Amino acid sequence: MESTDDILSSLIVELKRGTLILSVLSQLFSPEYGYSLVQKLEEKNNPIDAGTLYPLLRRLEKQHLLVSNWDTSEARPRKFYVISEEGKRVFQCLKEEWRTLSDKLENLLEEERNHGDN
Amino acid sequence: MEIIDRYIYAVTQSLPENIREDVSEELRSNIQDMLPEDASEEHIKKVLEELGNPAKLAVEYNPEKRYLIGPGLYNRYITLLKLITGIAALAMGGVALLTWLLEPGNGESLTNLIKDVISAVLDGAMQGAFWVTLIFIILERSGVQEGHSPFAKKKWTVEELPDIKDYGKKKISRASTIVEILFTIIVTVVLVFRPSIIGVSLNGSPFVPMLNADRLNTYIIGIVLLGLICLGILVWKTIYPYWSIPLAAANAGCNIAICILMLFMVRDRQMVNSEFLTILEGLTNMTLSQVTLLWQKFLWLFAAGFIVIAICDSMAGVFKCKR
Repeated sequence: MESTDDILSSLIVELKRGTLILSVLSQLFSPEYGYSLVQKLEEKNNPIDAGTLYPLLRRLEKQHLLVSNWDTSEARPRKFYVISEEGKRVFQCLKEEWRTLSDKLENLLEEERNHGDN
Repeated sequence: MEIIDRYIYAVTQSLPENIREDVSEELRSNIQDMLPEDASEEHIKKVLEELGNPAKLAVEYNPEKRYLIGPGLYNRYITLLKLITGIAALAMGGVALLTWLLEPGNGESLTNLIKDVISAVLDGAMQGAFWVTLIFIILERSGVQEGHSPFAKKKWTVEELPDIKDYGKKKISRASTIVEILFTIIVTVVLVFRPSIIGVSLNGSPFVPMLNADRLNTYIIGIVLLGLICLGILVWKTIYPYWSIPLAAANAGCNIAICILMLFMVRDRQMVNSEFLTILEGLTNMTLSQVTLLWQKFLWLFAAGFIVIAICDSMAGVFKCKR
């Protein structure tokens, strides 16, 4: 039997999955490398697993939403990612979509609350 | 540091070669960024544990499909796997039994027969499972369930929904498909593995094969290929059991290919076992060359009949998809 906690945490993972891409794209208008992005998101209270983020960056690059570049000028070479023109367009559309979605969902949740109050 | 190398190796070894190096460099630089200066063994372990199971990470990194047959085809795959494995086992077992009945001396004892039949049944099941799986892997990778057929990779539309009430004449009966599968497997198996059981025993003469097995070998690739194509079309018929233009086209194409191969074989005089002709000569008052000529005429007649049937079958498919 799965415990309630397990079910809850897997549901939370599912809930977050769709928003990950939105948060990652929003932070890449200036170039970042993997770990700097982890930190940046953490500082902004949007922590993301390093193990989830690194492959995600590569996938987004493969879909041409990000562009990458190895910076070898410093002692430690790092791969920087930045949003592409296509990525910017996709990001705007996703943002719109997210806003309508959360508005609609808010309505549903509000409805439930009123119901509970009665 | 050695533990980092081992971790990166564990992640990248299952990745496609072309991205392996890039992923490992990127991962290494990311891991080093996560570590403080002069990191202790403990630090490294903590960071690697944060990244999690390398196998899981590799799945995230891998752009390729990680499964042979996806959920879209899985149910149909299982259904067909059972069906065709069963049919192939039966067919091969039947052929083994027939071989034993027609070729005495091959395995006189009953134990031999049982051994032969069991190994043929197992072989048939394995062959069936292998080829069905192969066909489905190809279907999966060519994206059949995204488009509707392997030939038209267009977006799915409502029009493609089969009409449940009015399948009418377009519907292909499952029974006829099963019979066709059985027939295809038996013919292919006999031609490829046991051509010697096609033969006759005339007026008490010893059993003589009609075909020259050595000569038949030169056509083996064509026979196997066509057998597989036929099987592929039959699998398709089982998945979408109603006539459509691409199916009718494939059916007609396959029929044409079979007819062409058969014409080549009929034309080839060396295909006939000379011993068989000698026996015919002995039974009639004709000379060997007359018998040979007569036999050739008979073969052409057979071929003509075969072609007529193939044409009818191809036309039937085309007409049925119009209704």
